[in-house]
Amino acid sequence: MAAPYSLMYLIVLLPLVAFAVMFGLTYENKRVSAWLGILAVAGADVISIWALISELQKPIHIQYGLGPFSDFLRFADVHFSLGILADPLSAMMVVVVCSVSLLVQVYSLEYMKGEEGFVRYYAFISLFTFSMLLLVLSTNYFQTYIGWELVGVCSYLLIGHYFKRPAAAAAAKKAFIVTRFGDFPFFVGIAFIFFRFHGHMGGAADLDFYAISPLYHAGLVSQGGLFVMAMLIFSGAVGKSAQFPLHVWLPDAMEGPTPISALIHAATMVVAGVYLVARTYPLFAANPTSLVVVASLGALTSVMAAIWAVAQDDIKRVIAYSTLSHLGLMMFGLGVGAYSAAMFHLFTHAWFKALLFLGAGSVIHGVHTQNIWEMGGVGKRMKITTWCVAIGSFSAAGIIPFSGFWSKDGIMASVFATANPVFIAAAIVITFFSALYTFRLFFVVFTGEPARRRAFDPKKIHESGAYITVPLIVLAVLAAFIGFTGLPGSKQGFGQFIFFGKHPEVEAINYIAIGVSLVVALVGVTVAALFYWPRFQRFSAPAFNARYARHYDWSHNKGYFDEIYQALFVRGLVLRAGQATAWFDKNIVDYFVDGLADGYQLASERLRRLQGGRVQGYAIGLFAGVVAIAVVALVFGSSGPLSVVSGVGR
Amino acid sequence: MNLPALVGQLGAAIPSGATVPGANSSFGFPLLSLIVWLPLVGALVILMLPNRSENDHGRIKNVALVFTFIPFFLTLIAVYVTVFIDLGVSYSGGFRYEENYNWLGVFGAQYHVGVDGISLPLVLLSTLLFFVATMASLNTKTRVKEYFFLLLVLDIGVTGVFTAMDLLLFFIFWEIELIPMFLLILIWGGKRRVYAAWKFLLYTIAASAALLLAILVLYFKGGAHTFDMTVLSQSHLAPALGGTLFWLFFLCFAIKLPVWPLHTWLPDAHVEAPTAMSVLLAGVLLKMGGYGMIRICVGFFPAAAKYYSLAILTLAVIGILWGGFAALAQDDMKRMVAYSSVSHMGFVLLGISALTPLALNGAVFQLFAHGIVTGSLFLLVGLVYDRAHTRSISELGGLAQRMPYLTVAWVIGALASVGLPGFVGFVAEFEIFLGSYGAHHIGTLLAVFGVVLSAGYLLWMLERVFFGPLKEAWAKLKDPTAIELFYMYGMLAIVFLTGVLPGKLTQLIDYAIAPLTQRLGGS
Repeated sequence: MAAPYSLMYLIVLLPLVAFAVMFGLTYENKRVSAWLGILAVAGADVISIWALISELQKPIHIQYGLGPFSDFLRFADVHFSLGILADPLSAMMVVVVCSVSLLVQVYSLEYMKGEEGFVRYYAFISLFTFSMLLLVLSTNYFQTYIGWELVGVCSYLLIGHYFKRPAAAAAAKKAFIVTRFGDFPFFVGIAFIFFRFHGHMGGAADLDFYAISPLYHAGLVSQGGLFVMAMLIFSGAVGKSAQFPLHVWLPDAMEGPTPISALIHAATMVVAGVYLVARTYPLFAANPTSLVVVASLGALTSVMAAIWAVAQDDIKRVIAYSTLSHLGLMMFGLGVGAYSAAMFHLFTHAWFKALLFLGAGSVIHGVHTQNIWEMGGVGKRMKITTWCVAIGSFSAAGIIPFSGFWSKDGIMASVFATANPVFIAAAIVITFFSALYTFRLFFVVFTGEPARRRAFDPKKIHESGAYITVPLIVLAVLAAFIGFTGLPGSKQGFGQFIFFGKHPEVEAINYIAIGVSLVVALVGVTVAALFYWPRFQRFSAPAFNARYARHYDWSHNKGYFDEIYQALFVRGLVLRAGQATAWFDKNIVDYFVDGLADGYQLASERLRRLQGGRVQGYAIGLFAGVVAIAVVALVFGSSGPLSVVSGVGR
Repeated sequence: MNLPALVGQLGAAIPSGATVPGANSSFGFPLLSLIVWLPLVGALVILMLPNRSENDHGRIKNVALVFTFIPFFLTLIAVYVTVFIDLGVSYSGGFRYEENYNWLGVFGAQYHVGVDGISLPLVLLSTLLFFVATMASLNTKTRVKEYFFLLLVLDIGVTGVFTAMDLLLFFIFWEIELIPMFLLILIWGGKRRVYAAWKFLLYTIAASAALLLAILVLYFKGGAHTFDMTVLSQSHLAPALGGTLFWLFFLCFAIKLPVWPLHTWLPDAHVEAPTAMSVLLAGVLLKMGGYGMIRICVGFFPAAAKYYSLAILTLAVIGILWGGFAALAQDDMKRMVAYSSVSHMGFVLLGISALTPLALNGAVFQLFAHGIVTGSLFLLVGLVYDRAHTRSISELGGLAQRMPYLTVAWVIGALASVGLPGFVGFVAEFEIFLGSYGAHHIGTLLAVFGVVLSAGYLLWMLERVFFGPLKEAWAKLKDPTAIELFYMYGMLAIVFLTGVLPGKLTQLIDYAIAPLTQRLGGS
């Protein structure tokens, strides 16, 4: 095995070392710690890109154990292993993770400057990067689950960075617990897979992805079993990628620092669920019904989130709902069989969504608020940020020729190909609202005049420093041009590199899908301009919202899911059950225990009277004893009913 | 069995007592005896020391430290030799460091001790926790002499239970543990200590009665007329007798583990006991129950264990969910951790009910993991209580701002208890769930939900106690002292190391589990 694949273990190792050094040695030194994290991930990024280039030249599947951890658990006939997996999919993912992590860390040099817990922040980013890479390079379900839980806990730690704020502490906890609701069926799914395929691994470690994939078709599991298996695994993806009905944690996760939202809650961790489905696609492909569920849930999430995004007032929440919607779209794509397109969308989304978040961060840094109605007119003062966010917005809205257009178009083509009217309608709704909320945000924040706020001088708004603008520019370039790596009909495009099953033929271009999605997106942008761009404003948004107050409130309150869950599950079920068990222990179990103890005491007092010294009493006792022995002999004796216990009969 | 026959047999046994097979078979270094009995030497030394001034107290504490450290150190050597040198080379199963002396030859009872893959991790756990508990007791001020005397006597009983290979010896060690713990709760406990101590005593005596009865029935009716546990683990009993004995033993160990609905002594005892005793109760004493179940219930009566698997599973699942839900409702941090123990020991029972090699391995590993993790959590509760003088979750708040080191330790401990990969609990849970799924699909699904609950109560507690704004009452709290940091982070380091490199330990456990599961397959 040659370089770069033999060096890929360093991709995982470098960020981990950085984390350990930061917490162990350089905790007091902010500069050294931050640059250590940056250098480590830069090193990992170089190897990642090298590996990606090698894969592009010659796609290959290589995997090997991770040193002493390749026999993490090995005894009797079980073998659980940690390893490194190189194939086109993982090579693409590591580049995304390392690059976004690198840019975010550079960006944070300025954004987090002077913040409390600066080194803690960098240390946790390194730990997160390590965990995410462990997950992405995983060779088997076991390792995936480990990475899965670790990224979850890093997300917990980073959302809760400002732990003094109750909202941040609550959001961190919520994110962890809600995703656990998806993780526990995922865990059971892994157990199910282990149970069915253990013993058929043919020398590979247990739960190995590549060794298992032919087994799904081997008749070891019925179609019903495969469906259950797929749904259990999918549950994990639903939690991590915030799909309905476990979507509620992601918007709250915006309590974390903005660069964290870009890294974890847009570009990397939240797509882990999509990646999981892609990685275990053979399982889903073996049971078509499961793919219908994936598509339906993805579409539902995407539609709802897109509608909710239009009624949000917090700049980060708008982008968070946009992320939800795009994640749903990726799932939708996987569900309708657009494997390559969904992965391509994951790829482009990472850049343009990180760009939008970091751009939003730059704006927040400048105007010190997250409420979009307190912004306005930022465009004149922050030129670089504005242009970058504009590119990100065009990309997110799916306007030709920006990257989001090409990847979304691939999914649209597959959705149109299903000829399912509900799916097609959903795709059109998603496209329309994506364009609408993206440009609503853009027009409100960047155009017009600055909003008047107390104790705030709009003239003081100025462009952020180089540490912020350079990552923005890099991401903007990627968001603008990366889409050309996956042009439809291309012979060397993304679809010819990452695909599922046999090497695909070059597909004919679906001009209807391209045309429809482009027109719908442009309509969305136009509507946004008519409502929110002061220069073109024809309608009043407040009047419109007031007229459709019920619809607006539903959308503004995200369908009231938080309230419903709180009332139904948290207060209604979980806490009640807790109180009920505690009450039962105290009043039922202990009632008997204490009663037994009291009875003991009472009995002993009574028994004391037996030894009163009266001979008649003793005589009665003696007689009773004889009777008792006789009874026992009859019952337990050789012919008695309980002779087995006493064994007398033997 | 009638009386004359018994007497005759006794008579026959007397002259041949010295030639009981296996007697005096080991003349090597009495490592295990030293580990078990050295605390007695320490206890006797303490008895002879004066107990008047601060100085005297210091000396007593030093003696206790030395005599809990040496057994720990000796165990470390044994573990090092076994796991890192001999494992897979010269050692591939069976008992090690055996000592077998004639003791009560007339009854066929021997002083027979030894360790295998099931007991060695538990001996390591208990010697470690006794050393840590001694360190955590250094600020004891009342009745210092008696306290450390009892602590050392308790040590004998616990390590003895894990090393005994003779059932009568096992029983005696089991009884030795009882009274010291009763007194330690009764004298040094919290407000409701009298109630808690008596409750503990009553439950435990009931357990002992069941144990004694079971041992006697096994001895007289089992046919082997021996207390030798290696012999007994090979005997084949009639299903009815096996089943009865299984449940008698199970009753005893179920009280100790504890199994729902015999668990209510546990929250009371843990809450009222002084910190170090809570650590030992959760960390070591509960493990005696799990150990007994695996060694005796499963080891002696595999057919019965298999037959009643579903009943045990039911108890396990109820316990896991019950403990988890009850923990959510607690306002006292210690009570919450105590209920989490009920839930997490349910995982052990789940592993036992499944009877697959992986699940049983996980059950043993969970005994070790839970001992170390929950031991740490009780230490951490104690450190909060020492400073704030309250354990009420609703009264505390924002402590992270005053106690960063303690908060970091709490977060690590809580995440370990939640079963996060990288920590020892994850390995155990992973093994148990994967191992038990094949035996019980729905049961495992329900049990895994316990993992969601543990995330719920632990993270919610962290949020309310450590995060959010600092409440004024706690503005003057201080972080732990150097020695507290030492044992606290030392424990967490072990939690981490065994969680990252569990391979050797699980291999060691498997050497002891494999013969057991082979018998299960055969019977």
